[in-house]
Amino acid sequence: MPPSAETDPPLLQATALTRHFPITTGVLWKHRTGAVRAVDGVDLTVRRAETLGIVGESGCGKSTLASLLMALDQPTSGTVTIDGQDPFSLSGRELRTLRRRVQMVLQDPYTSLDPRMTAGQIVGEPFAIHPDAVPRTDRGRRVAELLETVGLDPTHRDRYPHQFSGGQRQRLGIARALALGPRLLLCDEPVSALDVSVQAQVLNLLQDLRRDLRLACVFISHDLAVVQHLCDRIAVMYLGKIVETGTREQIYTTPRHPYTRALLAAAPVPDPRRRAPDDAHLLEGDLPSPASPPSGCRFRTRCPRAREQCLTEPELRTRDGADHPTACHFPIDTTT
Amino acid sequence: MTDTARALEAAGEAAEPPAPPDTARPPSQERASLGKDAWLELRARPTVWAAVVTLFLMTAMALAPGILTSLLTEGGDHCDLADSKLGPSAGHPFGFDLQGCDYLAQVIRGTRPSLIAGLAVTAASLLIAVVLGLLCGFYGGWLDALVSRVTDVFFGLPFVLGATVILVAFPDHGLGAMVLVLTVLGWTTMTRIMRSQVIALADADYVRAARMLGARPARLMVRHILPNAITPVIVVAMLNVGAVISGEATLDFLGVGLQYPEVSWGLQLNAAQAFVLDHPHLLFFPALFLSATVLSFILLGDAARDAFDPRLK
Repeated sequence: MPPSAETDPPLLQATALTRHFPITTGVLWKHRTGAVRAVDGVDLTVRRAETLGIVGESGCGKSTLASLLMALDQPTSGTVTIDGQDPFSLSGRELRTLRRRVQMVLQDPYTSLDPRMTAGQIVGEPFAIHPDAVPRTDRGRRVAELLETVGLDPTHRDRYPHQFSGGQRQRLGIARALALGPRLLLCDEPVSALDVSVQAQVLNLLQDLRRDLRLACVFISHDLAVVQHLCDRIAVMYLGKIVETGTREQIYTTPRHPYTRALLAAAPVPDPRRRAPDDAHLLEGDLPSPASPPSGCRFRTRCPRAREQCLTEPELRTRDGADHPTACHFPIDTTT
Repeated sequence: MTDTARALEAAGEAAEPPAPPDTARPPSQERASLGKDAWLELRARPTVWAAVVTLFLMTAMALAPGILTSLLTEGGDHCDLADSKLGPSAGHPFGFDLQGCDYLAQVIRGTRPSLIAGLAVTAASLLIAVVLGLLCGFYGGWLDALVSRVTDVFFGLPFVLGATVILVAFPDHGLGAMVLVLTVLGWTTMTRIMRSQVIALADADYVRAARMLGARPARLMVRHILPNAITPVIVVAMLNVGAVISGEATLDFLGVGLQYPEVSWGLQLNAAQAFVLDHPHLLFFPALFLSATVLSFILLGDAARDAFDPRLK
């Protein structure tokens, strides 16, 4: 990370972000009986040209968080700041301008491309939406450049999405996200729908783009290996909250939250002699329902270190900015 | 380390090629599209060709009845009461009607109102369905609730009763009034289909991606949702043309539709009902033309549904 990155204002910041989906009952007169707390008090910061990984199990609120960060969904409370601006207080025109600076690569390349548009139309659509971004006469050339940037043959611009493979489709999605020259790219599980061999190619492409274009990235994944490969900092998410944030080295070598350690222990190790000791930390049971999270600490139902205090007192909030914040009453002592 | 990590390292060493050739599914050289696929499928069906030829003939009769009449009959539109109800003979293949006019000429003249009603009503219903379906499905909320309940009300009206009540209120039962009535009673099915299609597509990933790029609602609806939602509605519209034509004939037959001296198949069937046993040709020929037209539109609609339905491939 370049030294100036520490002093720059953050590119993307979320403070006490929550998103609750109401649960209603009744046929004619609906009344609210509860809420699914998909995202429940998340703080995070992404600095310029930095890659933040967000890892967590399925159902922990990762994709809802992505929608909130991209201003596709209104938060229940809390704020999002993109490049110093609050997207939810902007007018339509200002929000459209802001969208040029943050773009997203969606999870499934089979559903994220309009089946009735050609590759050229898909990659060129950002210019049709923002006509002032590139002069009309230059658009064709720019689309060809973008296709080349992501490793596609520009002569294939008249083909339809179904004529491309999964990896090529995801490259199209990346080219579309890059078209407006964003400063931040949010990737919501960009490779989980792809074959393992193709995953590597797409991840390497993202790695190169990040370096060449000095892009900041938020990389959402459930695959710790993918995150380790790409990310400078990592936030671990559990049941709507961030439980631990730290640099890659901190998370992988000295995890402090029992959940982080359990995740690391659950990742398959290709060396049979190294396997056994970590089995002690493997998680049992399922993710509790986000509609009725456990009292006190959310992780206590599955935590091997839970004590009486965890039953009553909510876990601490992981304020971003501290060196290695951990939402745990009894964090693992990393000095031993 | 997982499979992914190992694959990452392997790929890193292999210095990833810029555009990996797609070995699993080589892209075809042609520009294939759903429309082209559908056309290839339709072309191979004899029933489609029969329907197309029938409708081509019907269209010719509707557009240029005078030319066909003078070509196919002796004396064209000339009527002589002395010939009343005579059966088919040389030069008059369909015989004569009650007023002694050549029946082939009369049946040809009856084509136009049927086709106009069928096409105009379907076009109007399709327009209503697309506009309401897009707005309701995309925005939802009170607009959707209101339109859906209104749709339910019109859907619940029995066709013959509803049409009779409305048409009796119109002193002049012209073709315009018929189109209006048939549209009022016929827009609901297509609107419901369009709405449900739009609801399903409004959350599609590619619509989300366009939203993310900053696309306005109009662009999302017209460029992304409409082209992907319209196919089943078009199929229902084709089936609907046949239904409207038979509905129009029904109202004519019942005496609440077009009135003499206008000419239509429904009026001819009505006039024939008193003489069916003695002069069956009066019933047979308009019924034949009516059935052929309705059947052709239904066959086309069916074929289009099969051709556009990916599950049947």
